[in-house]
Amino acid sequence: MITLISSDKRKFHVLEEVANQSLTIRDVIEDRRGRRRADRIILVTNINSKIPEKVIVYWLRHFLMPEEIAHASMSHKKAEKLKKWEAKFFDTDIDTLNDLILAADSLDIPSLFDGACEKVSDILKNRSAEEVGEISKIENEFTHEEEEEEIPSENAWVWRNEFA
Amino acid sequence: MARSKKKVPSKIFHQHRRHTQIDRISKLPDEILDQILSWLPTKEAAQTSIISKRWRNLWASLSCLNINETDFSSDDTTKLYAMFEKFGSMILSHREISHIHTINIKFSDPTFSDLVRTWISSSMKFRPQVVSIEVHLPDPNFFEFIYTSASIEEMSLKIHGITWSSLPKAINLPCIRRLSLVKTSFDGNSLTRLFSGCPVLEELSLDMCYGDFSPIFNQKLICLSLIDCGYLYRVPGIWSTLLSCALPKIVNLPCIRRVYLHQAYLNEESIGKFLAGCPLLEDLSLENCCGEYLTLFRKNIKKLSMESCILEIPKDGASWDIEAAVIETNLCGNTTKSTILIECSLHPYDNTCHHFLLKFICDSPAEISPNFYKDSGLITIFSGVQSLEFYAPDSKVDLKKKLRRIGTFYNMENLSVRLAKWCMDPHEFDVVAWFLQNSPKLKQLTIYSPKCRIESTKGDKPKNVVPNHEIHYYNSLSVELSLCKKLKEVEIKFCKHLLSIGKFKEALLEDMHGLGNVKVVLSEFK
Repeated sequence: MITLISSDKRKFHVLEEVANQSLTIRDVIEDRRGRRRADRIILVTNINSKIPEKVIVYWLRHFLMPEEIAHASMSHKKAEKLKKWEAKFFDTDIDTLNDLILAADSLDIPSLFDGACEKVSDILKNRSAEEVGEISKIENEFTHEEEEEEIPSENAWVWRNEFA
Repeated sequence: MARSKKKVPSKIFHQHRRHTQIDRISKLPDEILDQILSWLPTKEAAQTSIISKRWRNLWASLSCLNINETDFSSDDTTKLYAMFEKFGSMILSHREISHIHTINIKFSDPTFSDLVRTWISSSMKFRPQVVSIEVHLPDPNFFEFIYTSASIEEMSLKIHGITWSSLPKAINLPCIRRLSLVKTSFDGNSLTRLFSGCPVLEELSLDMCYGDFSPIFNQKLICLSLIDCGYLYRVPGIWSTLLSCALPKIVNLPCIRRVYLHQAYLNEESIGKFLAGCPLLEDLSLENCCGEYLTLFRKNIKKLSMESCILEIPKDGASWDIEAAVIETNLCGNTTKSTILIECSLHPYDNTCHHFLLKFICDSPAEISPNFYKDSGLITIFSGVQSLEFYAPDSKVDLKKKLRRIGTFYNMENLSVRLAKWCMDPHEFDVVAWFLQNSPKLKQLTIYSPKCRIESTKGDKPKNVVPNHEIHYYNSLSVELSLCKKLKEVEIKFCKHLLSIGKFKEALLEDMHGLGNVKVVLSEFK
């Protein structure tokens, strides 16, 4: 059993086999093997408690599926089920996705990272700058003067107008 | 005037947002934003540059290029060509870093093929690692330069056009691990040439390739797919067609784990030779194959999947029993260690093959669950299963006759029955009863109602009709159920409309009342 402690001091107990899906944690545990029990506590300080919850749910779902996930010969039914489940899992607000990306990056969980990135890119897809700003809370730092005077000389202008 | 009016509220809005909301996505490091953008078509990724200053220059360092013909649309081909030309030069000449990880290019219109060739040849200097190209080319050997890239680790090449392309003389892909080729011709030694040019190749997939695949020697290969590969025969009337897709005869693949075959013709001899050359093979998938598979069951294959395969019956019927015996003994030894997954939808030709497979499964404690069997004839082969989802949508098949030929389902614990008609229909009830009588270990039973029958007459509202004689069958069901000693739960799934008919429900629960320990669940079936 491994204990993860989030930035808001909440503890999460996870089976080692499950947590091993994070390559970072696997390495840490491998390093500390054979030492005291206290060393089985891992601080995940850059992450608040909501995220470990989600990450652990994700781990469990994948842990219960021992086949190689990416492999094509996984039966269609199972692959579809997993796909549906992931679609539901990633159907969340942009802040959570953002945190998930950071967590997956620092804990090194490639499939979670890819899934979250894909979802964010879906959000960015086919939307105007204003819409993206609304959803993702990205500030548009261009003032109107800038937008009208500076950008035309930039490549961005080309992207917007010529390939629309 | 109009301009100043527009400006003021927008500025206030911006300031308001600046204080209340945090721009979190933009705070992600460049590498992560790059990963996010790599899921988008390059055109859209580049257009994110108008979002804000932070995003303005990200497009110039994209590590993944996805260019698809369908990203752009214009009725005027000349205009489209100019657009593509400008787009390509923007992407490739304004780059800020000198590395591209992935290139995905998909073009099916031959008009742009020279443009695509220029892009690819100029993007090669960015040392891409993953390359996937689908393009229509006039000249099959247009792409020879790609076979000498030192950086490529994964490559998928799909070239449309009438002619088959052949492998170039010089192949040097020192880092390639995965290779997928479509419509390539192989002559006597081109496979050997390919392997010697790709020293670390692990996965090879050949699709619609023709020629000689034998001998196939490789010390490192782990995964092999042969999809519609074989010799090219000229058939009068048809320009050319791929006919026989036989297994390679001389095989030595000491590391191979996974093999996928599509549209291959198999026979005893070729399978025997093939498997002898693949000592570590553990995962075999066959799709649309035909031939004799007996030898397959003898090997230590952990995962065997057969989809839409046709079994051919050997002419000599006498050999069946001997073969079957060998299979049984071997399988029983194996299954204790590993689960054998069998997913079949075979087209039964004759009853004999069922009989053979019946023996094979029935004596192996393999877990096959849950499975849908589209062809009711197939049920005969699965009498050793623990869990069965029985689905027979065709009401014409005489199930009773077929079922009688099987012995007992002595391992069955979970059963769900779904028939063309309502299971309680007088004609269908015998099937349910048969299962109940022949499954001594049954613990859980699920029965599905068919799709709702909504009968409407002119002028009236549609009505759900439950004929009275069906209700009486619950009585018979409860009698049968009481004979199943280990049964714990019966679930009956109805469609919503049927469940709402109170009288129907009452009659049902009343009939089920005398069952004692068995729990009866009524639920909705979507």
